Amino acid sequence: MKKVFIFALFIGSFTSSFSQDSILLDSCCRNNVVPYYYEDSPLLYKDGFYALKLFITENYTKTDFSKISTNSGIVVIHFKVTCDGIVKNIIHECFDYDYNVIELNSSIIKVLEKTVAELKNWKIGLNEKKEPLCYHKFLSFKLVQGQIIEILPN
Amino acid sequence: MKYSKHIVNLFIHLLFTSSLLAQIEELKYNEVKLTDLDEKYQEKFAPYKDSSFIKNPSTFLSLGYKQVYNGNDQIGNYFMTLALNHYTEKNADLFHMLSVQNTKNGNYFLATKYLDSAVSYSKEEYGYYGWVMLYYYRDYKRALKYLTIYDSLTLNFSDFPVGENINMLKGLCFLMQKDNKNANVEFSKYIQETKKEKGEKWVEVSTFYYAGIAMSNSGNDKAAIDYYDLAIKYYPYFLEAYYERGKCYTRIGKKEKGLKSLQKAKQLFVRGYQKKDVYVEIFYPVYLQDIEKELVN
Repeated sequence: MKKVFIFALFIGSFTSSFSQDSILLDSCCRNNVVPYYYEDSPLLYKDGFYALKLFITENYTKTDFSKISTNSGIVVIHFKVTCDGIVKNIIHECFDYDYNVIELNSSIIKVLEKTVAELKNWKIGLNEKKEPLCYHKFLSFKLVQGQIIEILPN
Repeated sequence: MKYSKHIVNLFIHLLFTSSLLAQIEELKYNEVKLTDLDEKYQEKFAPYKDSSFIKNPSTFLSLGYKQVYNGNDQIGNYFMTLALNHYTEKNADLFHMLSVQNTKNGNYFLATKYLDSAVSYSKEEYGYYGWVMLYYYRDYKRALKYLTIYDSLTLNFSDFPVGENINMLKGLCFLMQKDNKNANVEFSKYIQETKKEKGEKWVEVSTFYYAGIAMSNSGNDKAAIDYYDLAIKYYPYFLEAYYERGKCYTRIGKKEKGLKSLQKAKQLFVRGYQKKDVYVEIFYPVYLQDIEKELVN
């Protein structure tokens, strides 16, 4: 037990000394970022996943991607939700259905990133003192022939 | 004060992962030297260069794990890879640990690469791999394949990967692939076995809900209602079961019962009883918009 405590002190002295991956972050995200599954109260979209999915699919289907090549796979959009509930620091990764990294058509990525950035109703993360927190989150889009067939995780 | 709270949180975090770390602590390793680190990190660790913590790769494993937890995927995975490269002996727990936060953050390539390695060291890991494929990746074919391998390891025994019955999990894999017949075979197997061994009330209540869905999907609304009744019997706040039961009643012409069931579902939804999970959406979720749509019809 003592060893674990000393180990925690040691790791703790380093934890906040590494800056976040991107330099484009909002000031509240520079020091302490928590995950979307933080403690008992998950930091999710306020209107619920139903509204989130509806917003994304309505925006996405405005463009027809069915005829574009390289349009099947998984697009993962990683982002941070700032202390004001704003989506920032969007980055993406694409995978095939065997989870190998691939490139998908850039116009698909552009629309998905733009749509995610427009999601305006995220729950504000709060710490124990009720001060706002920055959190990281991702959305994963499964695409087949340009159509979104599933959005994960919630 | 702020600092001490931070340390307490870390302490809890490390205790949480200590069961995995315990299996890793035993592994043989080459000591980490300051020069093994990328130049940009050497300065940070220089004051501790003679510390036993720095020499042990598990320090960098924990540090990386915490960084990925905080959303710092690039740096976190750098430290975890550094640690991995210093272990001269490897085991399934090591790769399992490397995969966990990457799965939670949607880093699919890394997470699955590590899980592939984990199963190469121990076939027991197929239970976790299948479970993760089912819930986190919604990759039902792979989930079923891995859970079947895991199930085959102990033929005369019902396994519980990640605390859930193997037949229930396999049933979900079939259900989500719209193979309702096999879904029900698996759900029934779990229900019957549990009933016989411990009693019906010990069946994980969601199983009745999913068995009901499989019945509804097969067009057998009466059998589905029986399952939803069981779900409600053992969990009276199961709004999803009320909702599906309401739809079944309406389809078989019992409109009044259907309406009552749907109204109850709405009441429970408003009171906050929607089934939720911190990480993923439940299978066959029900939203307020769905209930209201049915009520209008």
